[in-house]
Amino acid sequence: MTKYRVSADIGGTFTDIVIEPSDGPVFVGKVATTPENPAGGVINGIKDLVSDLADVSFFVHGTTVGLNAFLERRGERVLLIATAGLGDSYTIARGNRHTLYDLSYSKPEQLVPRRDVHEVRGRLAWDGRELEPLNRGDFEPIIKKVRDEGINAVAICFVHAYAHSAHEIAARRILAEALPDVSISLSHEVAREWREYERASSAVMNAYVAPVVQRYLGSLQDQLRDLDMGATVHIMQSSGGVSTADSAQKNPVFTLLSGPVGGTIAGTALAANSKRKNLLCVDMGGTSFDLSLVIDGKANATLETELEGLPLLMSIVDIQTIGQGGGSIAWMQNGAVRVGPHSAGSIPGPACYGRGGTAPTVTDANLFLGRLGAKSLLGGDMSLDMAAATAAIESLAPQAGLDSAAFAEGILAISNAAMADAMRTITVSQGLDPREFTLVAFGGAGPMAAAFLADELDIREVLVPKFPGTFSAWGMLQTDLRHDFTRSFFQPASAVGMADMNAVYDELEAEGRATIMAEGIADADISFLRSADMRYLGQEYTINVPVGTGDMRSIAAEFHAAHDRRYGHSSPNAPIEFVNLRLAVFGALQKYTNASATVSGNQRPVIGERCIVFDGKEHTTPIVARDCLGADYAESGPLIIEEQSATTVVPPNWRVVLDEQGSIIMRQEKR
Amino acid sequence: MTSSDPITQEIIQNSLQAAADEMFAAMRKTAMSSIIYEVLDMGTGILNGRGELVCSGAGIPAFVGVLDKAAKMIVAKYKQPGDIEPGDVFTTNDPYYGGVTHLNDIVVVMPVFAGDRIVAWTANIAHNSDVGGMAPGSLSGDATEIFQEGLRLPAVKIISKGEPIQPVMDIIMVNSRMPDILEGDVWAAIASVRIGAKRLVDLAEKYGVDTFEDAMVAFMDYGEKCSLAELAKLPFGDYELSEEQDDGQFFNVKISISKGEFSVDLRDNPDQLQSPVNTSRDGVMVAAQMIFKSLTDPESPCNEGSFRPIRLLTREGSVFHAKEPAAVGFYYEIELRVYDLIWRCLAQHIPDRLASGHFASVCGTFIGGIHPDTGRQYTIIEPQLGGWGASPERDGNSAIFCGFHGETYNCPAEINEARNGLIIDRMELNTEPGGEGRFAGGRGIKLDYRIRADDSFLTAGYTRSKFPAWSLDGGNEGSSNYVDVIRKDGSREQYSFVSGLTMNKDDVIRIVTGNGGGLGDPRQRDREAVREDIRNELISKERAREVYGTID
Repeated sequence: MTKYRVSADIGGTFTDIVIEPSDGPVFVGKVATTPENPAGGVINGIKDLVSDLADVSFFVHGTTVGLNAFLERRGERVLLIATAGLGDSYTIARGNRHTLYDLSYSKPEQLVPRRDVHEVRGRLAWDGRELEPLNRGDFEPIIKKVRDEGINAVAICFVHAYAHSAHEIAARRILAEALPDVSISLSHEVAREWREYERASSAVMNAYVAPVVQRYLGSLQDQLRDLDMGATVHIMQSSGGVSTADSAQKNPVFTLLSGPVGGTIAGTALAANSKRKNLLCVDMGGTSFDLSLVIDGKANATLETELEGLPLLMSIVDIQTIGQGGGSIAWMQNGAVRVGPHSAGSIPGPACYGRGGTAPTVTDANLFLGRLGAKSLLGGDMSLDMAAATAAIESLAPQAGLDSAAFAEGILAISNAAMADAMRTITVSQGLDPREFTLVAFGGAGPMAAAFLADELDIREVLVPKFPGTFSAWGMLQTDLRHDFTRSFFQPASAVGMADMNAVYDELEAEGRATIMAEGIADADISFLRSADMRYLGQEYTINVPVGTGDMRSIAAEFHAAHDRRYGHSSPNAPIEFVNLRLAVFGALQKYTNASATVSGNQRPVIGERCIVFDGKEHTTPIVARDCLGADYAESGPLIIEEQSATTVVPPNWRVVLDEQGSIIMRQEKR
Repeated sequence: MTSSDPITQEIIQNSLQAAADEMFAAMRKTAMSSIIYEVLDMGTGILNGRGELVCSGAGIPAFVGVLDKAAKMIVAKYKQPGDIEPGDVFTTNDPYYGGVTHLNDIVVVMPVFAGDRIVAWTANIAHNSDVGGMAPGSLSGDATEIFQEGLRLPAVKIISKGEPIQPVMDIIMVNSRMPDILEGDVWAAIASVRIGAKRLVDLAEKYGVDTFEDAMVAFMDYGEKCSLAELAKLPFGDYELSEEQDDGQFFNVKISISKGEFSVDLRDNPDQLQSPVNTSRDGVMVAAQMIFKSLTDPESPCNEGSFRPIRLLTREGSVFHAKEPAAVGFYYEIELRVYDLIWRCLAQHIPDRLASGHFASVCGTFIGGIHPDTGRQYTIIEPQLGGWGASPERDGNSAIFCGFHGETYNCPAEINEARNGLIIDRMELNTEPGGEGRFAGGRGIKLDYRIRADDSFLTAGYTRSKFPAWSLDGGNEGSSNYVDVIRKDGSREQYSFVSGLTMNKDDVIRIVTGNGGGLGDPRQRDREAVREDIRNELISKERAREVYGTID
């Protein structure tokens, strides 16, 4: 009997669903998101595609429920408990202004107002000595307030808890005894990093979204159970791993960015099944352009991020976003052409949508130049208005002193350059050479710009995956369970041996094994990845270095090499130190061998032709349907490849083939 | 497309900005001092072949206008063929040699060659913890000449064709009390300018040298256009202000705004002092540039062109145009005084762009000694947070850095305690009276450092200590900036300027920074806003009644 592995990427407007049957090709669906009952839309979407939910063997999803609760400030009222004397450091934050000259700058508003921040006495020194015991009496008025005012969430952040958690743990015990139903977030459990403000902010963020996420997950599990779906519900974490819904309830903030990471994880899945191990993943939609990296087959992660000016410390796939998309508007400023970051969105949308937009956008330029067909979108269900696009382009071109075609190409060039700069920022600014990456383009608009972006950075190869519109959801099916563990380990490299480090790693592994076995993973399916945060003595910022089976000398050598790669210099004779030891534990999940869709390769793929402008010249360009491309398809540009959710532009001097997974591969030919 | 087309230019300009940001990231991530990696008391920039500012990285606005002056000095000093070669790196820290600020700020500059021609420069500036001189941390209020403030690097070469000039490096390091850290930070700066230079070489190659240079010219012209467009919207006229300072001096400014020109006349001011509270003329120019940029177009790119409309008049030998060998360690307080003087002079005439006065002092605080747990020397260099003034639409920000700083971060208690071996007993908003109004000034802070080892020291130099942040339209003035020293035996001393004060175990240094100025009659403040202040314990019920009138 057919079993199904199912994933859902719940976005703001649409929920993408990907179904992987045990005995057939993958298929996809798209349903409207139902914000009032987020679980409802997903369930309806799955029911449309799988008749009996009892046949679902695995279910994973990414959701923006927590993120939206944060963005719309609909989270829980939180009370923050801090170390006596330092309660205001949360309200004060760090004192910086992002905009150097703007005198009307306004500091981001914290999630907890000053009146709900309370202090308790008790102090640990940086090295763990107790300077003052935790004062139980100080909790009494706090407990009374929580009870009287019906507060449901408490966050606790004490100084130096990143290394010495005894007081936070004692505080939880005191509170839990008196307030058994209140959700408690400890800073060292959410973020085991130093910097008290950022850690407090992370703990507060967890407390703030916890009840919302917990309610959502609880409701989803209940509804699925009522429909006899026996499979455990899984959820994507911002780190790129998957955890069970039960486990995610402990620190819900780890799921905050669970939607967008799917694309990166999909990239790692492509890497696992091919020789391409370094991927630059770009997701271009209507308003934003998200970028992330897969390096040596692994998603590139960072340890801190910021949401609307509020910091969040946690292991998270490093996704950069800039305001460039199909809807980005071109405008003039004191004689200079600008594109974005303002977007026409979907209402009114680009001028060619015919919904009242008059400003020229990236999509209008693509239509004007013929790269996008008037009937290309959604398989012809939506038609575009060429006259409106032309009028929008012509209204602005004279101000730039250009003819319309040059101006339209200019709009694309500026938009591409902005995206290329963002691509450069996440690669070269970390010392990574973009030419060693394959560009993976997805999202509705990504495949249209991909070849031009690759050209900007001298990237030789572009990959457009199957189903580029639902690539993120597909990625979620390709991942394994993952949990991360960290221990502070402030030690000069000269003073420690492998035995000291192994003792810590052994402890972390025991903890990791217990956690992941509780999620139903068998011992044989567990694996670990050890790494260490290191730096030169005196530096503050660290580099994360993998710790293999080698000795201390090889770890040091790896650090020097990594420093040189990233910053262009290293000091092999300078003393180095460890800061944190990290362990990622993985639980392998069973996957089906994807049967390829049988492609009717003898069908004629060419479905038409258009006159398209490339580099100022008109080219008669064939249009082909992706669904009709056989496995041995090979052709040279100029060429347009159309499918339901995207249009791929193959410019002149590029050649296209399909790879063994059915992805479109474009390579620049020698000129 | 031709070299002059706006599309290519826009692309090159964005890439220049990306390069400046990349230089900033490289410096931050590899530096050794918390004043650099945590506080970000640093800046990066890209200059054209003549040394004119094309664009800058993040960091502090007061450093943006410094880098071009350093590069121009090097261009002027090294004129002979072969003086400047590919791979060379130069440095200056001396305000009399293009360094603008004080000796702690080491500027590193690298030429970018296309063939045998210099087409650009990359530059980096950062505050170093100790460059020698009469006091640890190099800054002392007792200095009377620049010779007492540390090693002077008068725009000299430190790297020749890619190889360090070891004797110069040795001289720099041997003059510091913290040579390891200085060495690490200087190398971080060198790595930063090298990364930027490499990026620029690639750009010039990709688009061609002419196109690359045209884009820089166009970018600066664009900066000028943006400034002129906004300047035209300001009320033309002549304005002047005379303001008494904490030490009894009077500072005078005359400002004239006309079509295409923003003129600042500071000639009528006191002679330079036998103390480190003087600044170079370049420093005053930077102050004028900062407030001009804020007044005109704070959003657009910031480069040489943005500042073209400024005309600055100073008198050599005055505090605002010090002559060698005047000491300049605390130059930044003078720079801020000029910045605030121009702001205040114009505020009532341009209320939609200028709020009430802010705490307007860097409140630079220098604490040093031996870390009791590690035995290593430490030096804390911290600017402090304070309150900003109210504007016609809203209350001022609480606890952010003064106008001199920008993308600057305070040092977390956890880092100070572990790295610097003292204890932060307290970090809270300053709830002293001051700054009340229809819209209220933001709050300053109260910060307690408890010293853990005998024979530590404190140096500080705060202004706006006697005369607090000024208010507008009937609001209350803010409160003042000062340092309380609370000895172990409970005795107290209060300071605004103090140098090398001995601090012993369990003495507490309490920093108090001012609230910003209020705007409008406090009795017209929205009642709900007053109740919110009371609920958040920023003001007591009793005092709220007294200042704001009936609450309920």
